[in-house]
Amino acid sequence: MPHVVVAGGDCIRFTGGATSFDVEADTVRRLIGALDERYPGLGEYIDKRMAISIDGEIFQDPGHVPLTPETEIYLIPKIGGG
Amino acid sequence: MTDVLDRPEAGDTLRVVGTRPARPDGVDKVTGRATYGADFTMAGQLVGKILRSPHAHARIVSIDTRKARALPGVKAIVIGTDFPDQASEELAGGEGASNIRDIALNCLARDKVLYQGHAVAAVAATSSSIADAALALIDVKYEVLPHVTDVEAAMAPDAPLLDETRFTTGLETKPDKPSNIASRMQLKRGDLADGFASADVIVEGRYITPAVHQGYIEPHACVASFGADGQCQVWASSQGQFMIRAYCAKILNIEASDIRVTPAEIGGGFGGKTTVYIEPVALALSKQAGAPVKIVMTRDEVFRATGPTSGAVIEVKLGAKSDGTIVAADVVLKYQAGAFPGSPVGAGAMTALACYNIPNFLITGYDVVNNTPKVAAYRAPGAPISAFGVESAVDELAEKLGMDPIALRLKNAVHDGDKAAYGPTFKNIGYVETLEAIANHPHYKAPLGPNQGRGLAVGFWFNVGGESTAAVNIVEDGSAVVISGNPDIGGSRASMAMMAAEVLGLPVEHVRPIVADTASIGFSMLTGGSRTTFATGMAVTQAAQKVVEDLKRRAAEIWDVAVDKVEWVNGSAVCLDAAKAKPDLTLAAIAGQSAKTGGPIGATIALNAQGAGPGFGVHLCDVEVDPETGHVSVVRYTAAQDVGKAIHPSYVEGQVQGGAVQGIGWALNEEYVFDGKGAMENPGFLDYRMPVASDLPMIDAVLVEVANPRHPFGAKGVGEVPIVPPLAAVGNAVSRAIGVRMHDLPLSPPRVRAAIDAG
Repeated sequence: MPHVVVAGGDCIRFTGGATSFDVEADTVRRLIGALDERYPGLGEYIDKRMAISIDGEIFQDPGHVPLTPETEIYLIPKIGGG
Repeated sequence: MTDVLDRPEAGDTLRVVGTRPARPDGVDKVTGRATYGADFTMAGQLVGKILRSPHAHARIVSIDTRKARALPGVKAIVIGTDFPDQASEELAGGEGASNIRDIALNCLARDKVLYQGHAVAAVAATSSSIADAALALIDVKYEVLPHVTDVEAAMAPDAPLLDETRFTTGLETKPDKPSNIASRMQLKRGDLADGFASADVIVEGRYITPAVHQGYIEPHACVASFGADGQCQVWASSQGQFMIRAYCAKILNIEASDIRVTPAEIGGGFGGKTTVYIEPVALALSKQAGAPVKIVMTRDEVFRATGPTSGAVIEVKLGAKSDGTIVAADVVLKYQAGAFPGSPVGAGAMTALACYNIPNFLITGYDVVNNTPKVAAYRAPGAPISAFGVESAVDELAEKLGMDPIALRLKNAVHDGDKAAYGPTFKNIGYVETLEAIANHPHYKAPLGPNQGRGLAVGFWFNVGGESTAAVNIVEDGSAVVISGNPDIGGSRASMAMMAAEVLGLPVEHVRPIVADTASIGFSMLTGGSRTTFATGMAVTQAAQKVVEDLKRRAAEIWDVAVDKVEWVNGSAVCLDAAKAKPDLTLAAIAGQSAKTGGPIGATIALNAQGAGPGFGVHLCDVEVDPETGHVSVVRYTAAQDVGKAIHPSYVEGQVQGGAVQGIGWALNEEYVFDGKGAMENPGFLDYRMPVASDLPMIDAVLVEVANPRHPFGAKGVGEVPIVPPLAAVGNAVSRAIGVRMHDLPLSPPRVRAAIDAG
């Protein structure tokens, strides 16, 4: 199942300090839903504040992206710019 | 300058992309015809002005506007409580989610003022002098509170609290006392203690960068008209008309479709125009007055009340093997956020070690509120600050190891397949190529003169994509109009026209790029994050491709052949059906009979662009230090950058040069100076010294093209990377020139002279 690593942001506020998780999901949207079920509030936080790196590519809003058990997923703070 | 030909190179299939046509906005700008925010006027418009707090931190006890309202010519007065009270809520409107309550309170304070210059009330009057007189008649009673401007003082347990209900987030356990530290974040890898234990050499330093302003030449300006039917219009200079619409709608509780925002020409933004300050205020005044209201900030207001970027303290400890392999890094970042949380410490942390492959590290970042203006984005927000600390430390490490600075960086460089310090695996990066471009540049081996020093530093920025809409419409004479929703702050009109021309096969001068208002094109995220040429360019390219498909279909219909027997070549349809030899149909010929083949020709694409490639820069700086005065002159500067593919090389070079110059100013001259009461002492360009052309040599821009396969033409964002390395490149050059490691910016003559004296 896909492995998710939190790299930055304030996700530990919801996870009690955990920064990596195995989540059964085949799309990012389902993955966020599963995380929110496990850690209430985390889903909304991810939606609003986090970007998601999937196999090295940073997505700001990747809900539709399919996942495989080998997919590398990092949650990083959303990136703005000047 | 990079020698990129203004015609296709041999074997290059591109006809327009990569050349240097005249910029479409050039004539308007040099002749003064361009309409900036302050140039727009409406019949019957009123003058809006803002009353600002004289105190850095105070409770508002009362605001009495009666005398001001009684003044003839005064048509409206608004204060913070005239805005709907906002819940603390994240709203996507700028580049990411922002707290709408904080943005509203920054536009007009309600209970407390949090910095000197914080807006307290606004007036609309029939003349500027009446508006000034009205401001003077508004009686605000304050309870002055202790203030704090320094970031470490603000972090102290006994510091004056800006918000007694704020508790630090990001800690393992919830703290039991409120704090000005809004949040803490950490990035870590490996075992830090083991890493340092295995090191042969350790360097350690504490670095300070001051708050600096984006320094755009054009102050914020807008005209707002609130119609009797509730339909609103705003004309404003900003980096995003849709951002203004979203924030005004939320702050004033107006349906977004009832607000039409027209982007004015913009006289510089650099991230500073990615939020609202005056637009909701002008709309509220207009609603009350029943007339349009124009607000134009003064330079003093721009400095005192709009976002600088953070002042910061950066602590860096590096451990390396004697062969130069960096085995451990400990980085602590303390960033000022100003009056409300939201410093760019997150990006500062993620970029701090992004150029290096280090097995053990810990990066800790603190977002700290203090009694200065709320920070706003500034070109690669947060990255130049952390890079100053890390790149200074790496330079010190090179000196200690006796290694060439590029060799040290090459030894520890990230490559494709390496994990970035912030997590993801790098793909299609051009960092090593960029280091090699400087290593092979004549500048790197040029001799130095007396009192001169040479500094090198590197930098990284993510670049982003995001939502964009673009339309390509074919005109009946065969020319084309490209419509996008992104204000042009760095040449995007030229690049949009060029990409469309490339696909359509038209000469670029036959493609007119337009930046549309919020009612005339679909949503686009604002211009920032080095996203526009990448993301909006992708939308333009796809729209043009859709038009070409339609043109082929129409040609097939005219010729009565199958559509797969039509090819689009250099702006004409070519019939491939040997049985029906037909002369080519030009775009003009097809456009001229569009009514017979389905009507107007055009296409709109809306997308959420993914796949922006990260960028790396390597800067080399020579300085000469006057040992008597401590004055630093930059005598030679070369900046190399991986740009993917330069759509318009002159614009890309301009971005590289501009970023370098802003970074040089940050390194040598610029800083917010506060008096003992927390008031800014240098809110003008005479005392806040930015570099001008005569201060600097030509910046030699070297464009390294490692294509981004996710963009139709290989482009990567280019606008932000070049401001990341200069602070350290200049600092390292000065340190090497005088033989003393410089830790604090700016490197002003008194500071450099003091370092020389202290030896």
